[in-house]
Amino acid sequence: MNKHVVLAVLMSAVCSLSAALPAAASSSAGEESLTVWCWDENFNIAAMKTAEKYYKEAGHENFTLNIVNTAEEDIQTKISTAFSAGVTDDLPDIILMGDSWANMYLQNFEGCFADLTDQIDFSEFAQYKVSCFTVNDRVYGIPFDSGSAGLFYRKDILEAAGYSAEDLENVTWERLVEIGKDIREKTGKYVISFDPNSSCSFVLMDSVMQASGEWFYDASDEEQNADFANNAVVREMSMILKEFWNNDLVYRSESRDASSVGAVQEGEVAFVPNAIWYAPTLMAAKDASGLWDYAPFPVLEEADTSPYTNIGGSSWVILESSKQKELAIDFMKTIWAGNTDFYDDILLNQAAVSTWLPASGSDVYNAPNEFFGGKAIYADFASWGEFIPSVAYGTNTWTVNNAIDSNLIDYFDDVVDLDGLMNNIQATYDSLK
Amino acid sequence: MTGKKSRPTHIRTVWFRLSLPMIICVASFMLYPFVYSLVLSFYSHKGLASSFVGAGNYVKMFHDPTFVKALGNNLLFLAIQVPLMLVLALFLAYLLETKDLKWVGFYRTALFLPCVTSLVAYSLVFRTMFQFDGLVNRLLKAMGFISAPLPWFTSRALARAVVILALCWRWTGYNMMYYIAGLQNISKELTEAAMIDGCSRLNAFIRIVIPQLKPVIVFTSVTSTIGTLQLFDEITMLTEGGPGNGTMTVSYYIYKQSFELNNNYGYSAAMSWVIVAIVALLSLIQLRVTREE
Repeated sequence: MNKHVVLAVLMSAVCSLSAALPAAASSSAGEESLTVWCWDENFNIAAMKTAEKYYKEAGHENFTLNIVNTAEEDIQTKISTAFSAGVTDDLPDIILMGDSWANMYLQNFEGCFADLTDQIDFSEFAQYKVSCFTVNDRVYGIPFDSGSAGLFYRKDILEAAGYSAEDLENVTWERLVEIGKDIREKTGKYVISFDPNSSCSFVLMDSVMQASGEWFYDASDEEQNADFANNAVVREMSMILKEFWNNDLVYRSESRDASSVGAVQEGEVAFVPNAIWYAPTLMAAKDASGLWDYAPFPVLEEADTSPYTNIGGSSWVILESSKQKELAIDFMKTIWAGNTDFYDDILLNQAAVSTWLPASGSDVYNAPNEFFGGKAIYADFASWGEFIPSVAYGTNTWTVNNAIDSNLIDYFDDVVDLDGLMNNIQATYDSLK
Repeated sequence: MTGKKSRPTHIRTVWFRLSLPMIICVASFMLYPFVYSLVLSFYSHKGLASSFVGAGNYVKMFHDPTFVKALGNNLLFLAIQVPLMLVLALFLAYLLETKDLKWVGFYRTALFLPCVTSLVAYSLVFRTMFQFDGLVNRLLKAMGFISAPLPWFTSRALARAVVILALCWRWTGYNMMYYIAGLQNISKELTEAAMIDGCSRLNAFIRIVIPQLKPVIVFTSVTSTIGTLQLFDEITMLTEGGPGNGTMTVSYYIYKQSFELNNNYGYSAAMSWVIVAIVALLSLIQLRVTREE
């Protein structure tokens, strides 16, 4: 008898547990709630919070957005694990995806992302962004920010070393190294901050590569074979990076440590070559207002590169597994592809230069920015954005970056020469892709 | 005999029915993944797509510079860190077993405490201490040893040193406890007798104590070897395999191939099997070499 009682209790406990789970899920569905994974507190997260406010005002009073701060690498790891295992319950409705790795994930996990081709008018977005999220003529991402890049610099440090803004007009990387040596000697400040082990290639190699109008490989080629030995851009930029590194011009913090941002904000580093989305990070250090300025992106002396290029940039993707796909699509359509006030707001408050074309006519673009000495930073970066050479990233950009980052230090330390470096990058790339 | 034969079937098979739940658990959570990983290792993956490559993964591995480098790093850590840690552990254990030592309980607890801290937590603390503007650089600078901060995580030699230091900090106490237990089982009379006969303390330790500790030494070196070959947590938290794959280990590379790059689970499974083979081989050698004649 006792045995049966225990069994009955256990079984009813199990039943009530399993019954409670779907019940909890369905009760939250009534309140119009979406979960978003994205990174960068000052930028993407802040922009999404603003979007939530605008969607509420658009007649969805009960709408709530659950924004989870998730590092870019963590989003990759989490979604690939969940998709491979086929367990998508814990995934959010919307994720932010970096443009450079979007194609790899969209192709590797075909069918896991919501097809938005017929839902949103993609002709209203910058086409180079749309193409990053297009696979077999179907579009899977709502383009967000521009990665239009420039060279941010500390005016006070530059002037202390005897240089002025004119010296940075049409500046080459080679010249920047020379200026950097003077800065280091005269002011004791570092010149640039990068970590040859991670993100270095993403910021400093991809950008000059795109500026050349070509990519590491031909993305239309099925194999995506790269030829590093004959890649003039990677060769020249590797030499530049080595010059920076071996002349002690680099603030050597790991890219994932807070100190890499802290040092820049505290004025320990003179130059920050980066995209417009880095401006909010600079502006977060309010006491540095008026000390920062910017110039167009440096070019290479030998290889043919333009001063207009792109770094990073990302877009929103809705997961096919989302239980509230319709709501997610409506939210993105109403706000991210249809509300100019919203775009004015995030431009003004988060310095988010978008790639939704109807937003680009706004007066806010021409507003002077006190932090950057009263210059119209958004108008400038947006106008540079129009000249960025369009390249197809293909599916292996992330792999190329990995291959370069894992070999640079050998070249810096003279373990291998330049040809050896190119061979090593080639071998690593071939085995990773 | 006859009595046994006449037992009803349900009694003869009772062992099976009783252990069935456990058999099912072991089969589904250990045996199945074990076998499936072997099957997986003959496929190449790219996200959800996969193709059969036979022994291709095993061939590819030895032309893969990252894998070769990672294996080299594993062996380097093995060659430096394991002996360093075991000697240190033995030395500390011996000190703690000296007669008339005060505060034994305190020292023992202090030395063992690192072993109960979480791998992730202690790695994070080490990383924070050694970062470019971290505690260690500030201390060294304040004491006048260095004029510019040392790039702990962007110089290959220094990054390896930090990993080895961290591993020693975390695992020495663990091995020390085994040695203490071993030492307590050795009778002091032999050593005392030898010393009365004029044997030096060091000589007595090398010729009398160590031979008797042999089984414990073999055990700790085998477990440490396996631990080093599977080194993952510290690398993930401290260096992410950098700089320039200078601290990349096979386990971390397996993770990277599975979850960070093209999700090549097949290739990762193949690498795991190579690690299994190496661990088995090394353990076998260690057992053979140290076996009693």
